[in-house]
Amino acid sequence: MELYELPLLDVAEKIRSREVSPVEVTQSALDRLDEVEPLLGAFVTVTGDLALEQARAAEKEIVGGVYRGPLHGIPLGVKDLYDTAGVATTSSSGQRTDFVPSVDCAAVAKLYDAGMILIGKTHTHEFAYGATTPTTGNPWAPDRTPGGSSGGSGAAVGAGVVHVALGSDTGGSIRIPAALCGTVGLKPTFGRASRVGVASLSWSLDHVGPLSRNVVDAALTMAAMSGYDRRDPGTVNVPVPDMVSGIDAGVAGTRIGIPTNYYTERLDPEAAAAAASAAATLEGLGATLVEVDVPMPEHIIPTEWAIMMPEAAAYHQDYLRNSPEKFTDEVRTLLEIGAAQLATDYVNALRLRTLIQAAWRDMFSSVDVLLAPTLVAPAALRSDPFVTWPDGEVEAATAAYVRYSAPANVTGLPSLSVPAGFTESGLPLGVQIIGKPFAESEILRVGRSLEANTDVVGKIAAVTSRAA
Amino acid sequence: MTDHAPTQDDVAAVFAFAGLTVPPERMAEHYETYATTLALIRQASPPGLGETVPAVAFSANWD
Repeated sequence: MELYELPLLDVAEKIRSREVSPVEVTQSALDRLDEVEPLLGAFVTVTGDLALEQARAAEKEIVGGVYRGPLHGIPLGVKDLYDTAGVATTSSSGQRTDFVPSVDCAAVAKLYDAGMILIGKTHTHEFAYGATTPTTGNPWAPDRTPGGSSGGSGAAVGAGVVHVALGSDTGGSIRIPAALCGTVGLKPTFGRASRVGVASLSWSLDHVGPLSRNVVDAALTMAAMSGYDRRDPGTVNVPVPDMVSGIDAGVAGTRIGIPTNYYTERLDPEAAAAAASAAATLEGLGATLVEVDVPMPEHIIPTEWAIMMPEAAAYHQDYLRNSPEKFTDEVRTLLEIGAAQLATDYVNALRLRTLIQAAWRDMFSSVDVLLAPTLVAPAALRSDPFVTWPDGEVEAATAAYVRYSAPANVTGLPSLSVPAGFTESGLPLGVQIIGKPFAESEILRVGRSLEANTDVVGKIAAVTSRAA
Repeated sequence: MTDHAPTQDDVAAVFAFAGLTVPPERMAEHYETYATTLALIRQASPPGLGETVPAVAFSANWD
């Protein structure tokens, strides 16, 4: 078995005990990258030399008796929205082909402090404004979308190149690729982690977080990159908990909300069955299933778009006025719409968000977490990124994928996507566990219970050119 | 398309005011997307919001 195939905790223990060097671990990741990248196109930039340099430094530290913890010497993929000092950060856009930041963003700086090794920068849907990442293939079927916007990170983790890659999530951009690529994905509570140095799509809805092979990997990474940052006015000054201790405590007595609406509408039967199976697994472990009605369902998507679009247009105003031709046509169109939106429509959407948040708080009075399918359907074809429903309606993949993930952005609640099964044709399906504010530890505990009691989490895609 | 969809002239006027260059052929190609999306957005601005305050994240705390 190759090093990249081992679970992160096993690799970490081998590094800690000096059975293997971070250099060997890094080389294994780079070899796997070379093997699968021609079929996937997950990376904008591969930082092989830098990675080996960082790995040698980690090796020297560990041999010298300085061990920083289980992330020390572990390779990391970083979405190309995140600033990395001295490494091109393009946001997968023609607007930033030559942009090389001089400092690291807050999240990467924290993960460097934890000892992680930068393998490369992963593709995003241009400026995170979309959920298909056209540059990149799905590791389970390269002719299909990996989702997005963190599609490169999803593909890299699903293919086994890295155990952890960073994503950002404004309408589902961590959880969508996680579900489509068969990985774990954690969108934390709004305010849990700093976005400083990460290109924004929508300041009011953006979150940073990890995609990972196993649940504990997400817990370790999220804890390491969390914390208040006065430079990011969205962050909240609350203590960062140990997200790993207690992760194996099980779900006995946990009240799990099962939606009777919204997450049941225009839903692929196989995705619905995977979510039902996950609920049954948790019930069998002693959890109590409680049916709940999702409040204000008709307002969720309009509110998401009405907040996101003008904020994105404001962020990109100079590009949109001065070099609009450098955007892809799709993203340019979305930005133009944001520039045309009434300010009153934006403010009223923020007011509606207040009501939605309050209504969800009421819903959570009877449950500890909510369990729902992460997505309405499995991965669409890259050549035809649409979902066709039995009634003949055709829905764009981005719009379809965002429907089930956007509620956690509008409410700011933490949400963990965990693999929950595969379609008959072999495509991954996910479920999401949505928690109360700053209850990342609780949703990780529920996710870990699913992982420990099913056989679908932690798998590595073979990555072949077969079509699903 | 709903009652809240703007006309092509409405959209062209606001693009001009926003300082965007959107040639006529581009407007013709994308008008339906512009109009239907703006109409969707208008659904997040319903009547009856009353005294509801916006959910904004900014904090002036310097700590």
